[in-house]
Amino acid sequence: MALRALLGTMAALLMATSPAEAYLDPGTGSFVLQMLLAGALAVGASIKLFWHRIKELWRTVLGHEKSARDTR
Amino acid sequence: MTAAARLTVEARRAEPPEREFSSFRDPSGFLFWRDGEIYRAVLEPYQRQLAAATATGLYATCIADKLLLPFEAVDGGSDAGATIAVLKPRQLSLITYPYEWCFDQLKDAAIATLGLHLRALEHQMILKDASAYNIQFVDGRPCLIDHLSFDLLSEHGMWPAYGQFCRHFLAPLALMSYVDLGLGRLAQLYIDGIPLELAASLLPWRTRLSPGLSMHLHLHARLLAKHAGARHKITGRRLSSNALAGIAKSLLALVRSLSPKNQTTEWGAYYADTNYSDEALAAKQRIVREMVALAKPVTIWDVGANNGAFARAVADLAREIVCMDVDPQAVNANYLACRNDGATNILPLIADCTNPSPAIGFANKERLALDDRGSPDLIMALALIHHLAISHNLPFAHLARHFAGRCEHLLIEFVAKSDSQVHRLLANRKDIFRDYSEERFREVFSDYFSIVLERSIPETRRTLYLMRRRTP
Repeated sequence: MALRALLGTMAALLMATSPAEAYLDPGTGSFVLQMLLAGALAVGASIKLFWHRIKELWRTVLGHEKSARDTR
Repeated sequence: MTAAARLTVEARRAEPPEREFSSFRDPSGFLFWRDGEIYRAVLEPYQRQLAAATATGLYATCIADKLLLPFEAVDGGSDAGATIAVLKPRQLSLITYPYEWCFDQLKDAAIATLGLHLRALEHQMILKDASAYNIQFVDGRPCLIDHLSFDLLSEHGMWPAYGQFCRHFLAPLALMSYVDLGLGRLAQLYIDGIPLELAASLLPWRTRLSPGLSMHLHLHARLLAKHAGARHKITGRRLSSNALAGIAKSLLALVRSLSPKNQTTEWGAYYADTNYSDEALAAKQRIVREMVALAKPVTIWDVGANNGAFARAVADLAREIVCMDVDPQAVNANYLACRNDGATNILPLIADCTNPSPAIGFANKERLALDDRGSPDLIMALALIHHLAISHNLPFAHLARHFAGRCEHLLIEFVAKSDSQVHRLLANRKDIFRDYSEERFREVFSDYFSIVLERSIPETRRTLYLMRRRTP
């Protein structure tokens, strides 16, 4: 969800042009980005963990099959 | 006090405690001078942070790993009533600024800054300030000099220095990596770091395809512009220590992936294009060593040092050598060589002696001009005078007066007009330099210096002079 939000925001912002404001607040954009990044990094970490588990599961299944064949 | 530190602070000697002008941004404390040495007063608002950084061992571990300038707590010394502690840091002989660093110096400083932030997170603190001006090169390595840059993690929901880190480090590094090595100097125009919108507009389009630059720089610039007029306080969840570490590690991976732009610079391959034979170069090195040994300097400024070959040849004869050159590639090569050798007393800097760093910031007093930050015992100006006198039309009298105002000893190489390198300089321009002769050089420099030793370099049309300033 957060990754989709990040990608959507990225796409919208990279395509859009935004007018400069007269009263500059140097921090808000940095804070908003950190929230997006934290979400994206959490999603990335979850995907990595999920992928790791799939690989482990696959390895376990193959390992069992292989060892089953070896014992024949 | 070290003799080197004395050089920087000579002018402040014998004055009562004086607050450092540039130390006004952080309410946690301020710097002040006493008897020519610098101290840091810690004020009441920083009490809990000082206690935490000490009690958790954050200060100790950072100092042990040479990431933080060593300090000792001392008694009193400041007039301010709210002072809760006074720290006396190790005294530095020369303060340098990020726009004087080459690519790999800035990159190492960025890595050190992120390393300090990650280290702080492990101790339930953060680095609240990621200013590149808080880093100095100490014994050859980047080191945080602001002991009040740490804050309690519990006080922050985000990393308040994220934008500052990107302006001070990421933007100039990306520009030096993708556009031009000389763009590090852009930081001189923007004391609070290069605006991300400006950096984004200067970077080539393909940098948008780099996930790291796309997020931390391009998207960052867009979001800053989008929220520039925000009048409401943003509310959001507090980021955990892990989330903050994730952002810092993502920046760390991005910074590590950047490399200096591969470009041809004027002086980048200087030593592959000289008119010295191996024997002449060896003889020059011998003579330079003999002269430096005679002058016995504590500090040397090697002006026009290129990749620092001669500074390294005399590194054991002085406590500190600052190598200055205008070419960012030559300075980078020098820094990498020093880093690989583990040299602790050579500091390469990008500096143009015909246009040195000016004073900048509020009242032009926040960041000092290079010449106001120190002066060496000895200046080495090897294979330089023909460039200054012919390429820059600088009269001998200007040069002699300038050098005499800066150093006790001058080790200078005179390159005759008949030298093939001078021929090159004059190949496509009219020779208007009738005064450029060794006789005239000696005559003018003798007004300011007495000649201690002179040696011709075998097989060349060059002479090395060791001169000593005449007492006025």
